[in-house]
Amino acid sequence: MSTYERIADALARQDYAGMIDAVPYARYLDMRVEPAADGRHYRMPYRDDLIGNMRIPALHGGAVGGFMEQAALFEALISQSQRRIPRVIDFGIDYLRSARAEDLLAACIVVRQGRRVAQVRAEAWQSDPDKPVAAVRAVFLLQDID
Amino acid sequence: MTTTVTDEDRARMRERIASVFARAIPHNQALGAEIADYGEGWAEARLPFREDFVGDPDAGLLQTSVGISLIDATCGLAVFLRLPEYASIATLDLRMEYLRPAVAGEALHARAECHRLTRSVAFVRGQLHQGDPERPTALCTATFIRTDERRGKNRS
Repeated sequence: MSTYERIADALARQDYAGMIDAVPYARYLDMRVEPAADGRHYRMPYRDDLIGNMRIPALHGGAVGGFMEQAALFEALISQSQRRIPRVIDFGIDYLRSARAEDLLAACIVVRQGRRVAQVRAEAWQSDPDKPVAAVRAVFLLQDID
Repeated sequence: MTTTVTDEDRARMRERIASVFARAIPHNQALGAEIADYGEGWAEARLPFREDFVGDPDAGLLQTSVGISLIDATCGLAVFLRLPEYASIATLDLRMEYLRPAVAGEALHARAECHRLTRSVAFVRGQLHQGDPERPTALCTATFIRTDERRGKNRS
């Protein structure tokens, strides 16, 4: 079974842990999907090896960006009506404040999903959802599962 | 590069920068990112392949997201190598264009150049490839802000 067939099967059972398990990098980040009032949140549990600046200390900007891109990809997968493989083609992140040595949470919105393209926005925060740490836009090309 | 530093100075500086890049930045160390080369305002780094970095095991593709860590670190390094003296910096924004897939089993290489430095902002361009710089897997543009400069302004 291919990676995306495995993911589609997991999603048919609403098995988000199974979806994460199919993607080694998401597993490496120890990502979680949690139900929330407005849909779902993605979580990257704090770990010392995610630190990019020891003096502040702050999470590595790349870990923040990588986690948010991965969350946006999962959101594109979860919210699609047809089984397609999202391949990211364009990604941008604005860093709004430094991410402290704590869990990082993200919420994503699929702004538009067409036949070939999905456009997703994501925002990440820590203890205070009103103080976002970063904002992301990601564009995915949707490929058929062969 | 037309610098007047001696080879010894260069080696010492390189050693210091490499040690900061790999040892003083826990996430770079955890990923296994290594500095490959550098000069005034530019840097090259590489990320040896690890199974953890795969995005699609069946198709044999690296996850693009791991490249964000490598390019962010390399862009930051390029800024440090352009600054006249040590200053603290923070990434303000970063944009990636993924031109072609990066394959699993091969190292990811990054090159970044700080092409403009103002009193408070640094503009950087970077790219990722897997051995052939003429065939980048991703292009990157990023801006960094000098955090100490801002503090200095607030004081004055």
